[in-house]
Amino acid sequence: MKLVNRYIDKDGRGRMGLVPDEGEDMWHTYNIIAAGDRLRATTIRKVLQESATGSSTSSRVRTTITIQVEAVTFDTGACMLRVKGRNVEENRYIKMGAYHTVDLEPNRKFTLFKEEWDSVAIERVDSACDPTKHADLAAVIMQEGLAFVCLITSAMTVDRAKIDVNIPKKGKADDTQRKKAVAKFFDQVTAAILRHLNFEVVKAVIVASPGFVKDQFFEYLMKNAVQTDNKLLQENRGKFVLLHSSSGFKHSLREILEDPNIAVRLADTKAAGETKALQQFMNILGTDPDRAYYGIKHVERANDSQAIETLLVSDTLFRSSDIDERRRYVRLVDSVKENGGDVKIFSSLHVSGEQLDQMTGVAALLRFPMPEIEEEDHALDSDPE
Amino acid sequence: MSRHRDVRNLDYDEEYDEAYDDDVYGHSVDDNEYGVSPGMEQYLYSRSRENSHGFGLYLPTSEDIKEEDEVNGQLERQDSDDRSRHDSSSYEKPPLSSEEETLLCSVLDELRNILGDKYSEAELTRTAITHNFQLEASLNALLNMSSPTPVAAAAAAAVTATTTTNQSLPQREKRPRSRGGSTNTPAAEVKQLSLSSRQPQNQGQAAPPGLSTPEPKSQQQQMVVTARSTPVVVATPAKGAGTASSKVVRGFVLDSEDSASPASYNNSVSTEDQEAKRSRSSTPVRGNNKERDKESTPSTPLAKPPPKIRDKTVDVCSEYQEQRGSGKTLLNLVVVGHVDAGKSTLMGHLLYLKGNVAQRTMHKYEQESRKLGKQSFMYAWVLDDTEEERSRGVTVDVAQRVFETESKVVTLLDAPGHRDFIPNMITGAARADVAILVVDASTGAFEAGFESGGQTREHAILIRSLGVSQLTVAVNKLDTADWSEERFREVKHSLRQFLKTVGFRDADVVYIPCSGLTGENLVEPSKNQNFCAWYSGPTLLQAIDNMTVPERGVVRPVRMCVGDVYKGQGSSMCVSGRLDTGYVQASDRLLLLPQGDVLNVKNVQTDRAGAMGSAFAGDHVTLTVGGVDPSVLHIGDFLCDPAHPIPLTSRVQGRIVVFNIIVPLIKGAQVDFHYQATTEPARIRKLVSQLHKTTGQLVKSRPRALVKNTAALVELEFTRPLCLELFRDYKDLGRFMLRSSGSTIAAGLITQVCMQ
Repeated sequence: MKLVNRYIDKDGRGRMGLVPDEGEDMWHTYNIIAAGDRLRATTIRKVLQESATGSSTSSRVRTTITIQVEAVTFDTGACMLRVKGRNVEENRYIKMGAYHTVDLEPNRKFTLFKEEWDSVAIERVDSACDPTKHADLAAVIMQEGLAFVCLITSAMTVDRAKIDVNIPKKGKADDTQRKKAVAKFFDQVTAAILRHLNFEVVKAVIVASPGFVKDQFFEYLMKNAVQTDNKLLQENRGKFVLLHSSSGFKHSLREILEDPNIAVRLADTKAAGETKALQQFMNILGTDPDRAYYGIKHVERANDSQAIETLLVSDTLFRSSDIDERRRYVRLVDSVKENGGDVKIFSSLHVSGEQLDQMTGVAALLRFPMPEIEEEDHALDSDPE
Repeated sequence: MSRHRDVRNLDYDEEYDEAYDDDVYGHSVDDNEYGVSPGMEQYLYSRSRENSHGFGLYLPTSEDIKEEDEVNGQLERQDSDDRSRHDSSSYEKPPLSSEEETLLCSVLDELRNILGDKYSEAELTRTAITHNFQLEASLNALLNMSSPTPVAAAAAAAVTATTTTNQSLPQREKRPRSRGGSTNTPAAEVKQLSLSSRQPQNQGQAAPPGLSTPEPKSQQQQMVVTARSTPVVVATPAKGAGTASSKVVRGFVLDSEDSASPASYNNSVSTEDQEAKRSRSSTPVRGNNKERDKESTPSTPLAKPPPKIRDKTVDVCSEYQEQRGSGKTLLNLVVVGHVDAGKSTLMGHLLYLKGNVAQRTMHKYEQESRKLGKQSFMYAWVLDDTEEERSRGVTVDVAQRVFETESKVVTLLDAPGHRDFIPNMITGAARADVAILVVDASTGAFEAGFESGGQTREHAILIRSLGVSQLTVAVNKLDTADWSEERFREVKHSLRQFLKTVGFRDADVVYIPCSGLTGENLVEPSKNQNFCAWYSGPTLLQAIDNMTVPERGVVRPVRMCVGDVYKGQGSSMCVSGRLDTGYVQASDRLLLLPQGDVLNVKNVQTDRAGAMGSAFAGDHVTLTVGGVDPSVLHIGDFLCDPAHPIPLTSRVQGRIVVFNIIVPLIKGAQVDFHYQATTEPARIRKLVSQLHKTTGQLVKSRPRALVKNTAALVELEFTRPLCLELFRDYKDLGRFMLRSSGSTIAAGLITQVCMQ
């Protein structure tokens, strides 16, 4: 993403002009735009024109529109962002108050006006515009009969394909059926890799599975590449990394990212950092539960005592349409930073973020144990849900 | 007694809410006030026994303490409900003026002072009213009122109670004592029992005489008879009665006929009918009415009424007698142990010695394995038949073979030992009745497998959690330790300690020294001098022969988990797996869930020679099926009786035991859910409560996190609906395991199916 211009006055009101480059920037934008903001972007609108004789013609016009945002939707598969809202600046094609839905396009500038740019949003723009934070990574997680092909960028993990094939078990007199099924399964995974991965961008391809499936698959893939004379795969042979995972489900991606072998390659990606922080949180919850809390109530109480060392927040919370709620989290983040704490904002598109979302979306590691939080809570908690 | 219990103001709603965490059920009576009877001691915590506090203690052993507990709890509850229904709540006072009301109150107070709480409020009130609020007269009337018959009935009830020797005993006696005066002797207690059971009879207007009194007793007797095999049957009327009486307390007029009817109905239904009904009737009973509604509207994607499993009814019992009554019984045996303990070699050699592997084949294996420089793997190749397994020398998936002992047909399941393949091992162990745990006795190897991280430990825990209670420990590779008795004892000693904590009883575990590679002490006793000198026990084959076969639910509705799907000859598909319950024969119709398709069974094949065309519970069967698209069949699906479909749900409540984990379990944790042949990603939706490990009592409701070695009630959510049975209904099908990042984190029982 490129920042074209930026004008924010003292009380946080202002605008930013941005040019998104790729799919991931759409995700960043999705996290920045909130209902109530104003967005100016070019768009195509179908305009009905009535001539003096009463006949009407419709034409498609490219025009610049400014809308007051009412809803934002993001398609993770296609990385498309659609913003719906009402026109607030009349021009010759569009009346005031008319509804319009803008599809944000890569490489076209848009300007976002906000009544209040909070620290989280500003930071998000900064990080999105930082070109060093890019490391594209692909992962194939598999077990016998099940495989996921995912793309991991710094802010997103996107499922590209899920392959589910029924493989007969061993123990029959002739295992041709089994062999056939396995070959079919590997073929499908290979096809998915070729279709969805752009080897020019991808820096590494992780192939992970329990047992020997990964080895079998890699052998098959390379043999196949030689047979079909697939230069692309042969040239990129070095990009494949075989790793162990406990299962073929998507959530085992988390363990893979914890693997020290891959951590080196991923050192600068957000995904690895998030995974590490979450793992640390879980460990402390196990060894010293009084220093690890989750849930907004508990975390806020810890923050009141300036106890938070690391705050883990999911970006889902900042997309809340409820402004007060959003403010509450922004205030928490600011306050933790003010007190010298570290704030990690998780991307809900990563597996670690997904996991954090499951556990209320906010968690904190404390500097010192605060057993009183839980005790207090239990005193209050006697009321049923 | 009503005054003390304050029945009228009792908040039954609140009690009801608690009742949903069914474990609190059995503990409704506060035990602290009373002396502990000898039977309770085993449930109490004692520091001296601390080292034996493995999780096995509260996993149900073969006696299934927990289940009976539950039934007793309900019985107890029902009992009290019965009483409250009969003695006060349903009794309506005739309209009284305020003056009379006051008089009544004072007389009642006086009466209670004199008589204590022996008589119910209804009785007192009625007597007082009939005697015009005269204290003397009503007192006399009450004291004269006694009839010999109920005493006998109560005595009989008391006898039944004592003979049942179940847990309800202490509680049953306590209850009357708590209400009566403090100076009661046991004789007085019996009398009191008799009084309370007599009340309904005197109260003709409230409940039809003869129906209400025998009802709890007959049920109790029924329970005595059926408690072991059909605990749920009793639970059904109990809940019905509970609902009815709670309504009464809220102030509705009770139609006594109505409240009695479900119970009496249930009594009249023959046990066999109940057996058949159980899976359906019990599911809704546990939950609320919504569940019941859901159950009545088909929960499956079936639009029309379900087709029958077969057109002609078959008397399964006699069929079973005819086909299986004589001849050898079937035993499903799983072989587990640490990787490279020699499981496949041991069993391969056993099969070879039993003559199940042709000489020629064995010779071929020997030649080929020598070529690869892995001659020691030649016996393992009998079971490891895929290329992958042979070249790597590691079992990947469960192999299945059949051999015969003197009295049994044994289906052998050879499980992989490598930790990556524990999911496969779980599917194998879920199909087994008994197990062989193979340990490597050679120096260092046993310790490596036994230390944390070794699979000896994990496998033992897993098979125990999956319901296997009989275990033979094969102390393998003893030839490398020069048949040293000392080594054998050492291994035996450390294993015994551990297995006890896991929940295996000493009597159920047999230790057999042997060698898989040399074949000593497998089929024939060894001739080795060193070995014969100290060992004269059974061989491995004898040990297998000595294991007992669990009871099979042959007459229950069909349940079969699909373990494998492949193409048969021609265009038909073959489905194989273990028939968990029921009976299947060719041309049956079975319902495939969760897809909801009805498929036709074209042919039934079992491992047993000679038995063709039909299969009974416990058999490993291969069904040739038709009438269904091959693509809808998946491993992990269930086949069941169309009239009795298995519940389909994407959310369940389970009682879990958390193992030795580092990262605590919290709400929202993502886990792998292993159930029969399926592995599904699941998420912990809610931590309902943390329970005491041994007693099952509530420790903390809605805990923040579950740390290692705790027990808890949790709610799990899946990404798609799964076929799951309650532990209460189908013991084998009610167990599951939770794993996460390569280690087993918890084992559990499904206690409740939640509705969305």
